[in-house]
Amino acid sequence: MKALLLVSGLGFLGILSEILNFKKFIYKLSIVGLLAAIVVTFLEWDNPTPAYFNNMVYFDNLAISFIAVLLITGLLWFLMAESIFENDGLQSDKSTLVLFSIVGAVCMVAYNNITMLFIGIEILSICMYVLAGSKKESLGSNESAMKYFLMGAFATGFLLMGIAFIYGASASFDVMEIKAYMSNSPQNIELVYTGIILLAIGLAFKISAVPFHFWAPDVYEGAPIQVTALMSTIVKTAAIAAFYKLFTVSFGSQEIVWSTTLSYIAALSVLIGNIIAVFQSNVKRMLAYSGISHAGYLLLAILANNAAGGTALTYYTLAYSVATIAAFTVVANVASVKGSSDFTSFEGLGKKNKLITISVIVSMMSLAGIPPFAGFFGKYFLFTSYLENHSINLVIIGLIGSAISIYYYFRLIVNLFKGESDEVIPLSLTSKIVLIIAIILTVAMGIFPEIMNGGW
Amino acid sequence: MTHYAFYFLSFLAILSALMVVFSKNPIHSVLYLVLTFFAIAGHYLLLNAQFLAVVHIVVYAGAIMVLFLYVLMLLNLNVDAEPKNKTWVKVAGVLSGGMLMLTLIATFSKAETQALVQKDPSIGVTANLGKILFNDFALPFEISSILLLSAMVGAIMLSKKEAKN
Repeated sequence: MKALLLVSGLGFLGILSEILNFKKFIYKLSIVGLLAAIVVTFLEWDNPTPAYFNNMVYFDNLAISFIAVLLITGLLWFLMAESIFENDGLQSDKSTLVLFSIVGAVCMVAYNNITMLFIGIEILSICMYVLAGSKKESLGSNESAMKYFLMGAFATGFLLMGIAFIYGASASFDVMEIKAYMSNSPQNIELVYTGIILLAIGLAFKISAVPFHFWAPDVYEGAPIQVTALMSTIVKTAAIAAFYKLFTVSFGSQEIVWSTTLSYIAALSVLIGNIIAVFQSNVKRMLAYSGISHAGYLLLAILANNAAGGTALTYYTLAYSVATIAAFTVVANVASVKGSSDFTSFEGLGKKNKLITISVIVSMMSLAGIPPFAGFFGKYFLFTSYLENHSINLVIIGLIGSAISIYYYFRLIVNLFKGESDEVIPLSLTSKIVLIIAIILTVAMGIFPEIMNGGW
Repeated sequence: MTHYAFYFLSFLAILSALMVVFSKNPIHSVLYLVLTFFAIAGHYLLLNAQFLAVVHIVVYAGAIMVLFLYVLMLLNLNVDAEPKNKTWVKVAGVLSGGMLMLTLIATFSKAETQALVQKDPSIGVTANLGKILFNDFALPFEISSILLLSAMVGAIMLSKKEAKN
């Protein structure tokens, strides 16, 4: 709860900085504030009274670990995105929008009432629509903002209609009351069936799972690289956490209604995301399709429908977010020198750029799920939680997907060592810090996977 | 009496919604949409939700539709310039829309309805809505200010002139 207030306060500070003329410091203030928010979040661990404001939000340990993942990602993001906070007159607006989007994401992971979920999703989405178009002179950025906005508004319609159906049947927005309604022979269960499927459509759009993924590659490619990094980490983490809570807590007893549909969505996301990623020539698009396939893996935790799924989800989202932020940091730096983020821009950089090479290798191996990096244990925990009470079919599809993904992740590493080039990509201090933290986190989480797993 | 009002409003809402889709001139579409909103506001009144009915008219029919009309006039879109869609897009649209409609019809035909208003006549009255909004739903109510604020910041940011050039 305190983290929510703190980050909102930081956002307001961003607006005030415009009036009171301390725009120069807002970047540093945001970083310090996020650090403080992380500390405050961990202080709330094992909170004896997790419910606030008439059960509107619920900060149990799962929610707190998701918030920690979001804030750590947010902090790393601020460090990597220093270049968009240059003095161009818009830096305070950008930092405000990013901080508010984190507020929305926190609402989405800590909600206990569907109204909070909806408001959280809207805050996050509206900030993202604007940030996607924040490079105003670029046509691609404008296109990406427009596409994201139109598709996002359409998906929100589905989500809202699903909420209306659930409310119509259960006469409550409260997650726990809906759960109680579901578990004892509910009246008007047909409304719930339709509502659950409509909600699944709306949320699957937000995590860009197949077949609701068509917006993702275009939006990711057009938006500024830093914003793409934010979209593929924070948005996905928050949406999957909201998805997990709603489906396992509220609709957990009606698993039979949604498990088949979600299984197909997960299998298609893993396969189609990975296969199309193989054919991409642009690293940003490749990462977009890889994000689609990761959405498929994340859905396994929801399909598992048990507590281990939630633990696996926090581990996986942290591993995925850290590796993705590292990858985007490298892409942003290379693209700013070479002018494009195609695979060919990376050729020959392996000779002279040690930090870039190591972070590309670590993050790509982690994303592909190769031991001993964090991504491997993420996938391992997801699969074991799913196998606790399900058959192995979907896990086999997941493994096939991972095998395909090795091809395109390694293509980037191979490209680093192809050809001769003595070019040195200059890295700013903050970029170096991000890459080093990301490498340490990815390796440490891989070597000591139990730190995250033994918490509760 | 309420029965006749219900059927009249439903007929009006569906007819004008169809006219929104079928009329060639975008200005006419917008005007029919205003009519649809009024019909739906009438439905809210029948459900005893006075506040919702008034807000619906003020916000949708008033503010949003006027904005819409302005945009249409500024962009000079009142000529028939709608691009022709491909056949397969049309077929896919009809198919998926029809499937959604089928699902909704099946859902509602099975649902048991009960008149909420008769159970509790004070439901939906503005005073009660206010009490609930400021007691139970205080946090969402306050957090939505962040939603509006971020929309405003976004609008300002997108319309601001670049300082560099």
